[in-house]
Amino acid sequence: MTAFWFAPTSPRTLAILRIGLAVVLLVDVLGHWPHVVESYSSAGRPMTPFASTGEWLPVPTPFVAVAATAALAFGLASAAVGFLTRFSLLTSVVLLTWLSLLDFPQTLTKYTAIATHLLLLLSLSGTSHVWSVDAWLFGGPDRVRLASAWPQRLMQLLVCHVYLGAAVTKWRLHFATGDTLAYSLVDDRWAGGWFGLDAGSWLAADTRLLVLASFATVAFEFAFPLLVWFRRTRRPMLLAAVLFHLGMAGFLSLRVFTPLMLVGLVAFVRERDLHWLPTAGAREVVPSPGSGVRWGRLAAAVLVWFGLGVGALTLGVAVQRASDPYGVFGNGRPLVLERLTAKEAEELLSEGPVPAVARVHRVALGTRSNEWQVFGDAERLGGGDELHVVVQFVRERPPVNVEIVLVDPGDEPVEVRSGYAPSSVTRWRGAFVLPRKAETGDWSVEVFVQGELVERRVVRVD
Amino acid sequence: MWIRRVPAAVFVLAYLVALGVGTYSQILGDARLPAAAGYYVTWDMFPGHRGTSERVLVVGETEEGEHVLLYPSPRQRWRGGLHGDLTRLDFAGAPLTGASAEWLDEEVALSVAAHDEAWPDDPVRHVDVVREFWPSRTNLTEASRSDDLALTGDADAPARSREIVLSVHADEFRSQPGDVAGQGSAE
Repeated sequence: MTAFWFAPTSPRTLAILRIGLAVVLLVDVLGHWPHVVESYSSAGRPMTPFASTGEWLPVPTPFVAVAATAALAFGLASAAVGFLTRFSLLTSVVLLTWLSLLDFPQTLTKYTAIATHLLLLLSLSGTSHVWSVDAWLFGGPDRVRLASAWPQRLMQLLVCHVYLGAAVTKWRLHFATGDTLAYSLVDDRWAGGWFGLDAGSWLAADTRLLVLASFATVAFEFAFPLLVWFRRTRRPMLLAAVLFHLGMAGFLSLRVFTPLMLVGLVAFVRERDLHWLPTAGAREVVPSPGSGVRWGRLAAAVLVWFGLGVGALTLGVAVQRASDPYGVFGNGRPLVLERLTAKEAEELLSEGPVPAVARVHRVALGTRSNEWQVFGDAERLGGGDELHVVVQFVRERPPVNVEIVLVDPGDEPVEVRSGYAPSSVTRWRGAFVLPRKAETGDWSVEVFVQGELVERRVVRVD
Repeated sequence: MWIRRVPAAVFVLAYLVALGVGTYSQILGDARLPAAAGYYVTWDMFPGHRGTSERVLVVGETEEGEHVLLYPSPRQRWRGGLHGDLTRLDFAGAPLTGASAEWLDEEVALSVAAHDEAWPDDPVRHVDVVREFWPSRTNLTEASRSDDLALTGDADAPARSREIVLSVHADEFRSQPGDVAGQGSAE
């Protein structure tokens, strides 16, 4: 157990993790840059997530918010190059936590929380012992100081904890029905994937794929924390995790969640996986406390770090002042409310009953069904075949009456099934048996909700 | 060496306890930690989407019968979502309840004040808070599934329904900042 936590290990994995994490977060911070005033400053009125934090969390002025964001970007950049690494990482932890708590709709996400953990643990690690300015300044060209294993172990446990927690959440949400995944894939807030393709709708269209994908997701998230620790299964699990996250990025617009988790997985990379990287002939040594501190260089480094930091802050504030999109620095145009035309106002203020189609998520036809979905090809049927219809509703809706009508090729209703769907149910099912000597041609199924026709599906009878 | 390990061991232990409490909270659904702390040790990435999207708009009518969009205002420049029309408030989950409603209330008050200052002869007289909602692409049947993936920008915007959740005199937003927007009934 002592060796598990405290054995000296190569810092190269930690260095890759540091560089990757800092770059990913830097990209994310720069993405927030145009809206810093709105998201984090008193001029934009931040949205704090928890009543308790709203009471004590200082809300910065626009100037301070811009300066803090610029400082965060500088902290991440200096962490990436490993310049006063520990201090840079801790600075980033403090600023990221503060700013994210000011803006829960956009900045405080679960990936921000994961990133905060990783930054904190990295700051306590020996990540700067290699591939860093610090190593160049304070180490030696011919040696790499080893690092204690425990921060990396905690990062590994964190990644496992994330998967386990996500699996438990999905399990509690009855994720395996595919519904939660389907609603997520088509949610206007998160839909989209690679290259702007709406791949989520493509996946959401197939209920069988949805169920299989949901099962696979939960199975992976339960399996990873168990199997990644074994020699034989470590690499397959890491490969599965990489594919899992790349796949997720293909179907959902999750910003930097995918690259962040890919970086987090680096915590499981071992030294022997990195044999192809250049070592420059460095000799690995166990650091001894108190030795090798070059105070003169340290003082100079601190001065340079602060100088560069002040420069970054100045540049950031100057850029925001020059563009001033929110008009808070006196350089932008005054903010003028949008006047609506009479037609626009009439449209926005037009209340009407919610169309029944808005209550329905999906209508599915098949030749057999279980309690939540249909199977079999219902587009071509023969006399005596069963025709099953499942109407799936959106969540949070009022109770509705449902009616399905089987219509023959002559447009005459043949059979009707009707029922009541309370708001607590997600689906309503009905079934017909086609007459043994059904007339060949195009039959149809009409679905009515609250008396409104919401769907008409053609069934070819041969 | 051992003296360096003691603080490390204490930190490791504390960290493991925190993760353990997070696991306990998630498995049993028992939130033992304060919300802010709990957020950092629980991983409920699927909060349960509803299959319906919505956004909030606030329309003001002036004394002369003109209409202005009080929310979103130029103070809300960030936009997101598939159609690029959702504000941060719309991403906040339930935008017309609790703290979000108070936030909207104060934003509308600021917009009313800004308008009154810009057009002192034609102040805002009436305010309508509108909830606009639409199904998230209904009826994704396999029959509708295309072999060619559509670009998100090409996706047809579904028909939107609107509900006026609050219709009040603008003075409500001038005199008593508070939970005005939240007084309306959401569906």
